[in-house]
Amino acid sequence: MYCRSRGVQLFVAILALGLMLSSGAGATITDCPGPVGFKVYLDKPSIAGNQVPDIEFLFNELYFLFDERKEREWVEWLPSGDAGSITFVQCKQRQPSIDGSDFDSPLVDLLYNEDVLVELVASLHASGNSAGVAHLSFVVVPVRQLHFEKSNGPDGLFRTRLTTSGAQADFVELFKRVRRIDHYVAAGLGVKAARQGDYEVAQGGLCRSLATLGNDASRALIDLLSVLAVQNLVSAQADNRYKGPLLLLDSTQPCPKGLP
Amino acid sequence: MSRGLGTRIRTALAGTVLAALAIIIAPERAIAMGGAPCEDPFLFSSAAVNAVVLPFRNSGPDHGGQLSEAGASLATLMQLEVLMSLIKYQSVGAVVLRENEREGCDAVKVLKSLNGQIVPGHGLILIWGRLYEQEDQVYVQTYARFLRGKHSEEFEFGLTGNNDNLYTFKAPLPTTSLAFAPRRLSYDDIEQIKVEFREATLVRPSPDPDADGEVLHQDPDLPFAYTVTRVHDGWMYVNERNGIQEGWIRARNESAWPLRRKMPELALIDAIAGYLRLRAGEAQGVPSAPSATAANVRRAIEMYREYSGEEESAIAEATASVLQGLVILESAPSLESAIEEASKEFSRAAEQAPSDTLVRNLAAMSPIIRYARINDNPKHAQEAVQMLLTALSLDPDNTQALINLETLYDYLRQRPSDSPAFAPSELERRWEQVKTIRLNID
Repeated sequence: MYCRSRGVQLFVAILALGLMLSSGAGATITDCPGPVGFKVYLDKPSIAGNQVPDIEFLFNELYFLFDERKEREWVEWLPSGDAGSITFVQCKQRQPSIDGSDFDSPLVDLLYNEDVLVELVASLHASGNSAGVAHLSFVVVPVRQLHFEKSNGPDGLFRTRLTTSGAQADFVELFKRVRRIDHYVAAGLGVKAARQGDYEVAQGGLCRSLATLGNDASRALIDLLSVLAVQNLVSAQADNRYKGPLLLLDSTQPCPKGLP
Repeated sequence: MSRGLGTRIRTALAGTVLAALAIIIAPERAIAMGGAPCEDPFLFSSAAVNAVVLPFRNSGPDHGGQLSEAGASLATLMQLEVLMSLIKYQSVGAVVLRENEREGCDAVKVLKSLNGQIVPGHGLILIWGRLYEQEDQVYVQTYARFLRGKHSEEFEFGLTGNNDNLYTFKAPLPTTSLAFAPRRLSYDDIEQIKVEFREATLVRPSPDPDADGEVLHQDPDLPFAYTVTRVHDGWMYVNERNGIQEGWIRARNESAWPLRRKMPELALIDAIAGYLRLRAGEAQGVPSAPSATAANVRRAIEMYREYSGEEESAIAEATASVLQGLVILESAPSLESAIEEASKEFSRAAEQAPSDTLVRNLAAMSPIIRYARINDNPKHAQEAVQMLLTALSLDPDNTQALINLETLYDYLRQRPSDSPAFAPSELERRWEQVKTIRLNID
């Protein structure tokens, strides 16, 4: 009986270890309640290195910088009304693996249904007087959901590595350079609205994302957004109930380049 | 009103030795500064442009009330700096608001209260902000809202067709509310703000930092007003309206704490004031001096671009370019002579804020003017159409872009051309389609 019990314990321990490894060492996925409407999840950054910064301070700073940038930059293009408001949510107990492996189909479906557009996972490394390094993973939920559903296209995980400019690990200054979140939120909004047949919000989101994504952006993402912009436009123009300005656009050029 | 009667400062030196160096402001050029409680704000009605500065609020933990004190001091320093930099536009006023213990200072309430006071056509810049502390760092973030009394901020021009109809195009500014990037300050900066505040609010008999001075009268519960009659190298000679105090105050001290470098938004606020001054036109007999104002706005925007960092808001940068373009147009003798230069600024704005639909709509005005006023090149008309369609793709709700597109097609319909931008049947189809969509929206 004793031996059997030890065997069960060992089995459970191995199972737990296997689950932990499969979801990335140290990864923690907990619920992150947020308000109704579109959301961006900011997960608590994980830290490494022997010069451990005050993670609570950095987490608050990241939230503060993004939230105030939303006020500054997004107010002009968010769709009006309650459905258009986008909230940053600090997920204080949530630390998914930086490689994105936690974001499997069931979790992504859950996030999609909760109107999460982007989840940002961050891992920070600071050692001695050397420059700090931040690994950031942007999970664009509607893109990843589409990837699982269609079994092709970009996987919706976009990673970037940033290094602080000075010798000190000044992560606050580094966070100020994280502008990509704007593009990914626009992309997420555009993809989700396109799938829901909300033509105008979709076209705005897709075209805004395409207008701001730089040359270093994922080619697969640009291709997906371009294809969806065409499909969305064609659907709008084929829909007899739709009488709006999208009828004026040429489906071969759904996001016209307005400058020479 | 017994306060201050015994503390009057007379300035024999100021009127004599420095007369040659100081810029003497003629009496009709209303330049004034004042203060008031938040619940009872006022404007200088004779000034073409007023800047009103609210106390910067602490929006986080505040150990020992240091930030709250610094926030109020910073507001006064900004008031003085803004007034100092605006004097060149003439006919300007700056008011600092103070919150008392009973009530806070809310920008929306203040704006509502001031709305009824703005002389039609005159400009107002409301400036407020917040301080935020984390560990050893303090962040200061400035917000600004600008407007003119009973006028909307938009660029508008008309084209007369061959049929004598007037075709009017409108482009609202991308924004009149700006939130600048947070700037990082240290606690040394905060201390310096307090020191500079104490220095700046001393009224001295001469523009000499070593001269003894009296504290500027600023009762938090009562409004006060001073007229500025002379300026000299960062100093202003102020006269209290009831004659209880006069003398020199040091409004700008770049060598001690360079406020303009720490907060480059002040340079953009300077440019906004110039833009408003130009649009206000003649005020109380003071002309707006278009070419001088345009040159000053250009310098202010150059300074803003030089000092604002890479984290600056894209829409603030684009607004700077838009204002630069509009001031070029506004100050030029004709649209034709300035459109090329202004067009570069509008294109720059579109590059700075590529997803902003209002910037795209504004940028479309340049090729329309080029086509209609400079040459008949169909490429310009096609380019304008393309820009307006871009604006609509970025935001299908942009009704003004839709109206401009309809107006442009309508204008092209009546304008005979050897090389039309669109074949007549195609043009007719497009115009009918836009018109139908616009009617659906109406």
